[in-house]
Amino acid sequence: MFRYILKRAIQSIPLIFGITVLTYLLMTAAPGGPVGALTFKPGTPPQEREKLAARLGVNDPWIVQYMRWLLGDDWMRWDSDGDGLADHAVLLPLDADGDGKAEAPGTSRGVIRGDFGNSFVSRRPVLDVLSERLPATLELGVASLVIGVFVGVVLGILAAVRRGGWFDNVTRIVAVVFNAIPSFWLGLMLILLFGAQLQLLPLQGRCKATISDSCPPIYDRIQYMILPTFILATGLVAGYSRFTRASMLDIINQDYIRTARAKGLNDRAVWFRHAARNALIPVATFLGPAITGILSGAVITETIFSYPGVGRTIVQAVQQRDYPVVMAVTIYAAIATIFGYLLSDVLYGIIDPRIRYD
Amino acid sequence: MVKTGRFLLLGMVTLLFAALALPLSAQDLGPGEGAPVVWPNFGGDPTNLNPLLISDRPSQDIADVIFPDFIDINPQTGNIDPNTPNSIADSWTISEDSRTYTFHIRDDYFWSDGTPVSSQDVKYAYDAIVSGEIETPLNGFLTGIESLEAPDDRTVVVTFTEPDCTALSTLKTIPPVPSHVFEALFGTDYAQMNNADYDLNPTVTGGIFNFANFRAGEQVTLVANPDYPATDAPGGVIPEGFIQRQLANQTVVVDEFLAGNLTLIDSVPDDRRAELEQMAANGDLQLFKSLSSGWQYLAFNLADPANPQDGLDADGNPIDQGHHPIFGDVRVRQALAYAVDYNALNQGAFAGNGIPVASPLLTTSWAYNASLNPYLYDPDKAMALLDDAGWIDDDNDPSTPRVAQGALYAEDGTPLHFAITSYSGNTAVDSTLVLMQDQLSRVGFDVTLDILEFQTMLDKLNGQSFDTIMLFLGGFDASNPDELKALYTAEGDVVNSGFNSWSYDNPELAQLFDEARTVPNCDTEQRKALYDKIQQILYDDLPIYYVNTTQVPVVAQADVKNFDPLPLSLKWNIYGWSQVPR
Amino acid sequence: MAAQSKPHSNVVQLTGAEERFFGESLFQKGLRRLRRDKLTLVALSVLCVMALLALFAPVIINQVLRVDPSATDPFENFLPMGTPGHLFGTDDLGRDQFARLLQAGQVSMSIGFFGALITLTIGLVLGMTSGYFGGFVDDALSWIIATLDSIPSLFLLILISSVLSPTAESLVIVIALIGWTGTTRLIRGQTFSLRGLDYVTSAQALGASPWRIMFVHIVPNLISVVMISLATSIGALILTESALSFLGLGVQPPTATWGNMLIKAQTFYIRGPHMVLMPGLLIFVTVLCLYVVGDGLRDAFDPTTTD
Repeated sequence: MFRYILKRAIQSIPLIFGITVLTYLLMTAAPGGPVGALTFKPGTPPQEREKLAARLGVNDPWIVQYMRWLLGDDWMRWDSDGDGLADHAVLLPLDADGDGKAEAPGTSRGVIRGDFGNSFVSRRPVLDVLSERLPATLELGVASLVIGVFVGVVLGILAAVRRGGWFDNVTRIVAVVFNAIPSFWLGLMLILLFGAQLQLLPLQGRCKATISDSCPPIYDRIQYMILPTFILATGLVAGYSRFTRASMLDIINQDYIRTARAKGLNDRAVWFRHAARNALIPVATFLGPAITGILSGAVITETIFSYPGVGRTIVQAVQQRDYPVVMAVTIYAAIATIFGYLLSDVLYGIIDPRIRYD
Repeated sequence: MVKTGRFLLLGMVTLLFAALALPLSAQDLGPGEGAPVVWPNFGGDPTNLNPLLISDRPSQDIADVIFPDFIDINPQTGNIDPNTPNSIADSWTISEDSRTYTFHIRDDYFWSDGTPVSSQDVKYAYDAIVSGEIETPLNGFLTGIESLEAPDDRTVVVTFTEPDCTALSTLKTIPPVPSHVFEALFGTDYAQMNNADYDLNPTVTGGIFNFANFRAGEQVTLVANPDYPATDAPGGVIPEGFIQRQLANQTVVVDEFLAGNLTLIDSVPDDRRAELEQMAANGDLQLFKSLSSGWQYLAFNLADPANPQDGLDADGNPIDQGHHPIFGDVRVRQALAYAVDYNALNQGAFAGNGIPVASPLLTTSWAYNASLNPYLYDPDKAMALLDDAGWIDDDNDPSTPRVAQGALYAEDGTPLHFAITSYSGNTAVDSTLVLMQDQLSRVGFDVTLDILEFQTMLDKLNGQSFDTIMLFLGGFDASNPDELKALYTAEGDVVNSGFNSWSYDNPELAQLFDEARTVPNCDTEQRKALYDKIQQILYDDLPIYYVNTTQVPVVAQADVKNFDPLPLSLKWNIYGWSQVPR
Repeated sequence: MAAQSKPHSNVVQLTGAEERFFGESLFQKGLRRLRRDKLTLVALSVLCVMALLALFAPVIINQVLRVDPSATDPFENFLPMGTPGHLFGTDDLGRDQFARLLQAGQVSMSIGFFGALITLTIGLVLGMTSGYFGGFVDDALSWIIATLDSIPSLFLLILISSVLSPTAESLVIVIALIGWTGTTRLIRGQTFSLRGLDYVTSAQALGASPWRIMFVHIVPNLISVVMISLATSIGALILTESALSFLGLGVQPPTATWGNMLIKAQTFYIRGPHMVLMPGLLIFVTVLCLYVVGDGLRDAFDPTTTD
């Protein structure tokens, strides 16, 4: 098992590499670089913009930018005589801002050496920026994943058991109905209903605004999570219930279930011990896509509820052309997804002992 | 049972007294006892709290209440006065030749670590800005200064290269910084400042509030400064703190306010205005109308958009930039202004809150030219101007686009077609554009809307490749009309950089701006006459059509005592806002 | 050439037999099941009405309603539904909402339809090629799909739509660029399993060209998958368009879509509740019907289910 996980982890390296190339290419292709966004204040002199562009290195071709981001720039521009100014350069101009003075030597070590760089906008290390935002997304994501999977699977099994009955039909219709409403719209309606009209739940944010350095522990602010979790989970419930139902129906038509029934096992044992267990196998494969779905949903949900998570960060970062942050968020998302797929495979093995890893 | 009843009774009496006592105690809240001020922020996280590096609104809003000013506009008088609260110069003298200003720094103002503010704090800030090593937008403002010295801890001496009537406005942009801290952190290697921990964790500050913490995506928290000088805040700083709360979405801000989670809303959405006005009339909240400090405008690209060039070459000589085929002709620009039905625009896009604008100066400015009247709707005049300019209605159908026949810069047969560029996501802008497009089509303009993502739009604006562009310009300083110069002179006409992206290069105007800045003894009458003339030229030439400015309703919770905005400042007395914590 | 023509005719004969036995009966069975599925039939007829309205929107606006959907009159704004002359009232700028909704429907449904169509075309071509031939092409394609699927689709959409300025046409391309992976994976899988079936193997043994096998044997068997995928994709894409509008990256005014009408209406939910109701309802009903139809088709054409 461990060897299998290791193998899969190694296999995903080219995948992540491909993602970074694609993302970097797209990002640098977007018109209007970060310099315009950072110097919009009237009266900013042209030299300031030049200097900023040189520091951020955004005038270099995208491939050079990408290499600097990936491998670091300490080998692209370095100082051998110790005067604090670079005297050798590969791929980069020595004097990038054209002020007749060589630039300082490169200091970034690149992503492969764990240096995600600094945000263009807040100038802080990207990892700091993200580690502040990650918990909010994580708490929403995990809560909605757990609820979504649990409710979805249970509904799916029950719907399959009562196939064609009113429960089956209601579940199917409700699942489709919630899937057909734009989520931002559903969110707004719920805020207006439960927050503004009935005043049962808070409207915005992750906790009450008070003079303290952090939000209270999660059990003291459950009410803030109810609506966003609901919005995120509806899609999952819909997906999982339909998937489980189909999988269940598939299984019960198979011979060994018929045999079990013929042997006189009672219905409950057949359904839950044999059928459900096997029906869960294909359901486990749904975990990877579920995670990307949650992250996509987080973009919208966090915006409606002003929840301070990663989804909002990426929207802002793209708008401000904050390349290092966009890259880091994308990599995070990719790792989460790959982890999701890996987890599915491992779950496979736990549910179905026939599967072996090699 | 009897006992319980008695206790209950006692309890109720106590409650009754407490209820009676409550309004009294609200007035008597001591320093730090009031509820924190919770202020909504839609602009994203502040990016930098070092006052030397700030270039965005949310950061500036925080810096305003945690850092002192060197000198500042007194919100009561509208002038830059000595002893304005929260500023550290308490008097100054001007030399005979009007070039040297000597400031005295007050001695009752302290940084949050107890160090008194001194002239070094101004000197350090100035040196850092002009060093060119820090990434600051302030560099461009300090051009006229020859030297800034701090001969002793209480004195700042500034010498200008020539007599300058905008000297105080220039110096106002220098933010004092805690130099003892900065010396220790950066010394004279100012470049280190660009990537410093201090930038988002300003440990030592000096303002109404002290910095407490920064929660990304959520809030910035400040706490009351117990040592804020009593001369600036009689009675001390009452609110426990200040929370800049980030909201990602404007739709439910009013409901969030009504739920009691915000102290105020500094710009109420149009949709909820009537409702909130009704509540204000019932005394359920406080409402105040402030005038926006800027305007929404439509700028015409006067030069050839196909071949954008700078206004001046390396030697400072003007470059021929060609003419925009349509808007190179002033008559077409005026025709467009006359073709816009402002009343309908105001009703549709600004819910009747708008005010038409005639001059780029704010009406509150001392130099505002009150004799100018905004271009108002006159379709006949618009059509006559177009006919005159050689854009004719060739098929006698006013709804089809006109074509050129003898126009100044367009070949005959060219249709009167152009694009308005703008950015996405702003409802008022969207509405203005759609209404304008419809209104302009009635006199024969054929308008396409080119609504782009903000950064993409900036590229087009700075690249000077647009026909016309619609944006907001705000944050003007009513005391300093000279700051408009960058919008209208050749120095600002730099492709991909300058602020005169519309290439309006009028040497006469530049001359007038310089004259107004250097009037002997800075005689206000004389200066006003020159600025009047400038405004008249801009009105006639119309390089920018100022579409609209708005009255912005501000609401605050009913129980916030001493909420008393002035036209020039919403939060001038924020230290005294007192609200009993709920 | 002559040598090739003989096995050729054999294949044709075999195909005819196969289709009678396999394709047609399955198709007929599907139709029979579909006729009994009331819910799907209702959804299908609602969709037909919607599609007709969208298709003839310009004619209806000009000839029947006789209004100019872009004519503004801010002094007649926020008129409620049922106002004479304005069946669905007017919007914040005094434009006739019925006409705008028709126009928007045309754009929204076109974005969904053409987006799904392009997605499907890419999916068919790539999915069949890689599913049929396997080998290097399949490996490379699987890798690309895995890469794209590891980035949340909305992240990619945000990135791509900041590269292209958002018009209805560019949005179709953007959406198609993101959406093709799912369809491709689906069709690749189907092709892969069909390829292993006996009659395909025998056609191969008889020397039929791969293209012929694909179009004669595989494509007909993909039709149900394609139709299901088309229905659900159109629905999903209409929703995606509205989500992008919400983030400010959707189609920009003056072009109306249901998505951007709904977003703008949020700002006016007190003064113009009808502006919020109608586009929301239309998105909901259309997407719902598409999903129901997709579900119904899946049930009807599923070869493993019994009656």
